[in-house]
Amino acid sequence: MTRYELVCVHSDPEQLLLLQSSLAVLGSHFNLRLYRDHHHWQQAELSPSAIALIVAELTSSTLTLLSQHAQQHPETPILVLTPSELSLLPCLINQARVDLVLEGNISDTQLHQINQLLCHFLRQRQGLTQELQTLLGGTSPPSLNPSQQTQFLDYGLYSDTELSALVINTLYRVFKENDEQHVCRNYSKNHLLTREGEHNNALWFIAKGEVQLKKSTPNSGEQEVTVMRSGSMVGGMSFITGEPAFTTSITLTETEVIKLEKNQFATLMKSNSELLGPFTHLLLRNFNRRLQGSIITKLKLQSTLQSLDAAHAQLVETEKMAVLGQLVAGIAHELNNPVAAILRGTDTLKTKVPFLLDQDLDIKTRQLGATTLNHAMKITPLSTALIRQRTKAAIPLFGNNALARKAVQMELDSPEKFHQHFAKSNPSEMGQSIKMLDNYYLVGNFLRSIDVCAKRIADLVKGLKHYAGQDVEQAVFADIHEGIEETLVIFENKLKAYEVIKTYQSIPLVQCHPIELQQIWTNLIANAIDATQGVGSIQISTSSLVRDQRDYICVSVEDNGPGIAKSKQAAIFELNYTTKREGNFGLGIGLTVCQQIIKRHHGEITVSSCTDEENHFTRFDVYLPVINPIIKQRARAENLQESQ
Amino acid sequence: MNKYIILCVDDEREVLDSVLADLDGLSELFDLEAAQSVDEARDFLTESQQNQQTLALILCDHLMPGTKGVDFLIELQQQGEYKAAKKVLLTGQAGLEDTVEALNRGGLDFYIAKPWQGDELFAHTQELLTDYILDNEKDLMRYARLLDAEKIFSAIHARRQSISND
Repeated sequence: MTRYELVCVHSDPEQLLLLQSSLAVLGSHFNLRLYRDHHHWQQAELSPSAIALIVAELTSSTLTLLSQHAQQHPETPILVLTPSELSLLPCLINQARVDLVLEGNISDTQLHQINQLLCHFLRQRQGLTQELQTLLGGTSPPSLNPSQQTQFLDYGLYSDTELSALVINTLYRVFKENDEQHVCRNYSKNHLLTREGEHNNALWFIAKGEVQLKKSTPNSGEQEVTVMRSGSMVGGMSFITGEPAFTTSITLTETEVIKLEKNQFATLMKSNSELLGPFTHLLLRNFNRRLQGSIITKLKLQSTLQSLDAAHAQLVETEKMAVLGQLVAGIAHELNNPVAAILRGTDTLKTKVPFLLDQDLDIKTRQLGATTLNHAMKITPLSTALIRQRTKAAIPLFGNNALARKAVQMELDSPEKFHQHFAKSNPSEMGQSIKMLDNYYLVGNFLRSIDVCAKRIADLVKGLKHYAGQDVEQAVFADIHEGIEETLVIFENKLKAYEVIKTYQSIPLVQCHPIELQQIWTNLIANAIDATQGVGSIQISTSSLVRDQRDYICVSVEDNGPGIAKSKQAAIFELNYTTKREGNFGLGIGLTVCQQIIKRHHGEITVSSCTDEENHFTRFDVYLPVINPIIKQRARAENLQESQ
Repeated sequence: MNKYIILCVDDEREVLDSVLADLDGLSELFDLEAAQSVDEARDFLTESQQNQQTLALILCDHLMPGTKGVDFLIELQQQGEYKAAKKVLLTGQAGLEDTVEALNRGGLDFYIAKPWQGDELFAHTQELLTDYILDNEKDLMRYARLLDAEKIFSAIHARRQSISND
């Protein structure tokens, strides 16, 4: 037997709900279709011949549709709801027909008329069974169990606000006349609805106002989860599942609510079954919104986490740059001395060499000059103190301080040499001769000095090259002492005022990423310099040892600074811990970086420190396994982020 | 042995040798002395005092192991016998703070940045020594040859006039 369709089309969800409840009695034998607009009706592709009744809002678009339908199926009764625009009604009457115009609320009389129309329709289709006739005959009480089909209609077309307004307005209507149980309430500000972790027996619909949901945080604080506004439901989850409330909810403003306790809810759903559909939808919608909300939050958190990771990587990079910047400044200073000496040297050579080439000297002087030059080029110069001492001794022979000093520098000041070279000359000739030889000496000495200075620059540059370099992917066996020495070269300038005590034991080559390790030595030495504020002693020692049956090496950097209080020793490895002042190295995340590098090398860094007045020190011990084939490289992850 | 001393202090031997070479032209009338640390310079000064020699000019590096150059200049400034000596900082490493300190408390007369030009170093030293000699020496004539002759002659002239005016 055909099941006929009752079609209701209205853009106002409340009106639809009203229609639904009015026509609910017919639900047992008809499919009640509720549509928000004609499109949706068309999309439903109902068989037009199966439509037993159309109740529609009258608009220009439904007008067309109704006319079309009426032309093809003139037997279908067409009911319209009081149109807002009168002109449309004559159109419909002319183009098709109107069987009944309904007010918003369908009165019993009108319901009776509807039944009659349906009877008429069914009779035409020969579908009016006895059963239907009884139903439509009119007096039987409304069915309490309308077909489930009517319950899950097209609420998808309702917006969130519309759906909740539908439910809430209906609830208000239901309780308008009869609110013995005080379901509709007005809460003042700071009224507690649910309490986190406690059982909740009620469900609140917020008609007006704001309710804040919050959760307690691990550090005994509270964190707002969200603020529910009019149209939302509070307590839904705990109410339905019986689980303890997930959040605490409290009113932020004066709030109008409908509060339903379990038994009230049950009674309500029994007596107003048409509410079950919209209510279920509302509940699902609510949960769905919350779920979507938390998924969006999670996604946001993920991306935040990613950007935090990137920021961290960048911070590490910035720290590297900051240390590097200060090192470079130090190195610039450090380069300055040899560069100055070289420049002075070449400048002097530029005048001395042509001068010497121009001299017409006797062979003896020239030979002595060449010997002096060679000698000056090869020897380490005498200390200034020794020169002074010997100059003083030589003054009787050479007559004055200037000549004596020159003779000493050339090491021609001994009585034997004096007799050999100058005994036969008069003082004036001797003076001439020594001054001439001094030119040779200067040339030799400056050549040597340029050589020494250039080598120093080369060493510095070599150290720098490592800083600028990139570790190869595979861990390599490296000489730890070499790395430390290169780091010390970089710091030479800063370390001038220090007593640097190196106690190197013979240790094996260590499988590692040497440039990363260089960062550790840099940080530890920079920290030692900062801690001692420019003056003090720094001890660097290395040793080898066995731990857990594996070969390890240990590098210790100890300074005689004021020490770190016991209470702070754990904190120094934390990312944001710093005692750095202006003019110090880096940003104060050096130790964190060190720890990360050491962790990747499967090693350990420990700190021991003492703040006693007599014996204050801080020592960092870095333990690294000798054999260490698999070391994760930081560069990988970081470069990836940077390239994005 | 000359009456006056020029003392150069720098821990870098190569730098020290360069300075000495640049100032060699003054060695006839001034004992050109070098020290590789402040400690050595102190010892030398004590010794030179016993020899009745006077410090006319000190040319000092700043960043050295042990006592820093600026601190040494301050130390000298506070001792009466070295207060008059011309004080020159030859450095690439003294920051603004140190330099201000040297000026305010060390009686700094001149600051030469490394690297320097030999002839400029010589010229500045010559000027400073001229001023020193004019303030501290009676026998100006013998210094005219090596120092700023014009300045010295006009000073000699002025002195004669003031004597004849008396």
